[in-house]
Amino acid sequence: VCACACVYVLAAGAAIDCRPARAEWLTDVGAGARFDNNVAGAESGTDVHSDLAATAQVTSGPVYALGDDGGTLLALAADLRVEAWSRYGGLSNAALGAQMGLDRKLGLGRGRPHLFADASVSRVQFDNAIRDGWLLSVDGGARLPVGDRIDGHALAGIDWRRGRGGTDLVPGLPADVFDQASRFLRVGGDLRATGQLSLQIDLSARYGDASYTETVEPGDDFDGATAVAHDPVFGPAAFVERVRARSETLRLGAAWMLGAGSSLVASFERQIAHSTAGDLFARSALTLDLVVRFE
Amino acid sequence: MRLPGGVDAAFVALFTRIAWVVLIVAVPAAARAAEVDIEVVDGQGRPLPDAVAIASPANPGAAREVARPPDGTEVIDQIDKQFVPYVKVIRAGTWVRFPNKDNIRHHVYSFSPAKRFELPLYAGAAAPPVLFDKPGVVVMGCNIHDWMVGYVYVSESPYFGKTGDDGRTVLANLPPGDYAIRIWHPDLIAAEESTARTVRLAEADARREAWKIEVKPSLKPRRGPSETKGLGYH
Repeated sequence: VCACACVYVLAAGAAIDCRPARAEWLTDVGAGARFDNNVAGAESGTDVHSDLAATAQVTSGPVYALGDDGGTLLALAADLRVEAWSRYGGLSNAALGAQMGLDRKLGLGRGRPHLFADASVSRVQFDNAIRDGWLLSVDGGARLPVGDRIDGHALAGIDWRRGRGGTDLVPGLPADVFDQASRFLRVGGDLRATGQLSLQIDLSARYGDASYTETVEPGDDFDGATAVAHDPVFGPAAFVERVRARSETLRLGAAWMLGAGSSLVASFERQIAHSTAGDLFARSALTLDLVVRFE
Repeated sequence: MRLPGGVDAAFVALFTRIAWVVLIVAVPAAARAAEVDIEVVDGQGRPLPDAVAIASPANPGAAREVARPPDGTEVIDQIDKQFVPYVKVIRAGTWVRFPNKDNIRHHVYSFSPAKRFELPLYAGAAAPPVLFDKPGVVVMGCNIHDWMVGYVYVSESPYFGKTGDDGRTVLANLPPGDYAIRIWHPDLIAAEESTARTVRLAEADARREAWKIEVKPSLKPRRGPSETKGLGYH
């Protein structure tokens, strides 16, 4: 938490120091719910568990216009997110972090392409200690407005998760299941359907480490796993495994503007993951959030 | 005798007499002027605010008025990251100031053929006024806040108005004669010229004219949060 705060303060100080621009301060406050039909990321029927979470978030920080043309924006934000799961309380978590985003518009005007780069770091604490750790992510990409209604975007990035690790259970297999790294690509678009309604679609592909939980029977092995640990969240016989996997995710979203600074945001996500041995798991999630922006 | 500032007293007296003559002649002329009460509704019959009505005179007498240059400087504010007003009607030859009343900077620009201009990042009243000397529609934006859009309608005629929330405006002080009255709106689907109609006005005429025009659904760029992840403008 201290490290997050330090990163945020240093970044804000650097921005103030390099350009005496007047900053806008944006604060988003949101609350909502999330339903996940496979919170364990399990492959087989009996290990598939669904759950519902209440969520809340606060994101706040300055946006600086750099340079002389207003085409370069630096956004800094501190970020607090909380999830409270109803059936599997060990998944409940709070994350505190910092984000930094740089956006460069290529030219003057509304229809110009943008290049952007983002970085974020957060500390996440679960009710189940094995999942505690750090989340880091960097990405970069481009955004292209097409006419008055459509924004297209494409980005590539890397993220890391540094977990606390557990006690080694299997000789030769570490228990640091939540030490993970992945690369990802994402393309998508945003359609302004009406003055109040915008629709979003995103397709992303991820390659790297993934974890899933399954009940292990005597005699089962952990073939293909690069780490394994006991996962008490899903019962005494449940083990969480880390594997190399690729996954594809489709996200469909809709944002309904309730006023100048508030939106009701709904989204559906479908993720399908594959390991070298074949299909790993599929999961779907529905989210609904009310987000209010204070400027 | 010379007054302070070097002004001759005889000149002042002459000027005063001329002013009285102009007033005596002009007041009856104004009393004879006509007016047109204009109502604009959309395709569903709802009052349409921010519609511009322009009356272009066909007769020479009114045309002399058209030739008179406009006075003063108009103002378009930037308040709460919006252009205020959203639509401004001015005569060609008018200077417009763009004070920024937000506590952040804006970067105002336009690429419209009627007026291309750019006011680089500024705060307060630091930007110089802009001369709008060519009739037409000028679309303005802010290079930081892409949702900020405003319109300046630069009219070749001095007879114009903009509808309020009730969809109405009054074109007053129109000298008698023939006029082509047309309507423009930021979301107008048809060409502006297609809304034109000819109206003949007699002395002290008080006419009422109504337009029903088709407009596109308003698609002002969003300014609220649209995703639950992250901040900023993308």
